[in-house]
Amino acid sequence: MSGNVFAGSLSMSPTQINFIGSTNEKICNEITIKTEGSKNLIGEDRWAEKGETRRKFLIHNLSSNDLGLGLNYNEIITILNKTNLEICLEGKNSGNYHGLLLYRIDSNPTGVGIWMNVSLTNENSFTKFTGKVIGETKEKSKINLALTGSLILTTIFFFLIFRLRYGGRKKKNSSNQ
Amino acid sequence: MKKTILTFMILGMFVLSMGFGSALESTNDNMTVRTNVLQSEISISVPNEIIFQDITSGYLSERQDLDIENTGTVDIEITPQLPNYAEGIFDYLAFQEILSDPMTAIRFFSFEIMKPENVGGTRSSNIYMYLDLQEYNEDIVTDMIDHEAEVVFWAVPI
Repeated sequence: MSGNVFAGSLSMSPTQINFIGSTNEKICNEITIKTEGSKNLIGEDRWAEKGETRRKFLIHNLSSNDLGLGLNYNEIITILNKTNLEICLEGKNSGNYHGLLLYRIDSNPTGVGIWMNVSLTNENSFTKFTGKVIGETKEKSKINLALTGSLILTTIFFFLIFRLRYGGRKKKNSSNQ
Repeated sequence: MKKTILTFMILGMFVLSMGFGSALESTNDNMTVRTNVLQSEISISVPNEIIFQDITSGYLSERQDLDIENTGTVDIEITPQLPNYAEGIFDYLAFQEILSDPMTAIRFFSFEIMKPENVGGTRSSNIYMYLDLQEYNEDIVTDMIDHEAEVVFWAVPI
C-alpha cells in the first residue's frame, strides 16, 4: 500500500448550481475545474427520482434521459491546471429535479461532484421582470427618487414660466382691447 | 413677476441639490471593508494505489491504512465505487472508519470529512480498507495474478 503517495488533487466550484426557468428553455451555468498539471477528466451526471432533494450520493442512480432532461457538457476533457466549463440544461417536463455532476481523473481514484438543483415551470417571463424590480437596491432607489423629484420640479418651472409669460400677454391684450 | 420666477428657480435649484446630495450621501464619508470572497470549492486528494498481499477464498486481507485529504472549503461525503466493474472479487472490499467499528462492504460505505480550519488548508481522514473473502463462497479455480480493479473515491458536498 502506498498511502502517502497522492494521486493528485481535483477541485470543482461552485459546489452547487441552479437551473431555474421554464420548460424547453436552455439554461446555462459556468463551473470551474482545477487540477494539478495536465489531466484527462471524465465527466458524468447522475439524478435522483423527480422531487427528491436529499443530498445523498447513493440515491442518485438515474440518468438525465430517464427524467426527460437534456444536459450538455464536456464528458471528456483535458485540463492544464484550470478551466471554465459551460453546463447547459433543457427539460421537457416541469418539476423539481436533483442531480450530481461528477468529474474524475482518468485512471485515477480521485473524483468530485457538485449538486445540480433544477426547477422548471411552465410560467412565462413576466414574473422574472417583476422580480428584478423588487430586487432593486436601496442605493438605486434613492437615486431614482432624486431623479423623479428633479423631473417634477423641472416640469413645474416650465409650467410657471409658460403661465407667467403667456398669462401676462393675455392680460396685456385684454387691457389693450 | 420676473422676481417670482427667479425666486422659484433659486428655490428649485436648492431643492434639487439637496435631493442629489442625500442620494449620494451614502457613498461618501463611509469606512469601507474589503476582502476576496471566493466561491466554495470541493477538492480532495486520494492515494493512487492499494496493493493487497496474496489472498484466497475464506480469508481476510491485511489492513490497509488510507489517508484522504479534504483540500476544499466545504464539508464532504466520500463514497468509494468500482466504475465499470462486473461482479467479482473486489465487490468484497470492506472499510472501517474506526478500528472498533464493524467492517462495511464497499457498496454501503461512505464517510465524511469536515472542511479544513483555514481557506487553503487541508484536513486528513484515515480509513481502513480490507479485502474480506471470509464469506466468499465460490471456488477460485485458477490463480489470478495481478488481478486489479479501479476504485474511485467520489467526494460531494454535504
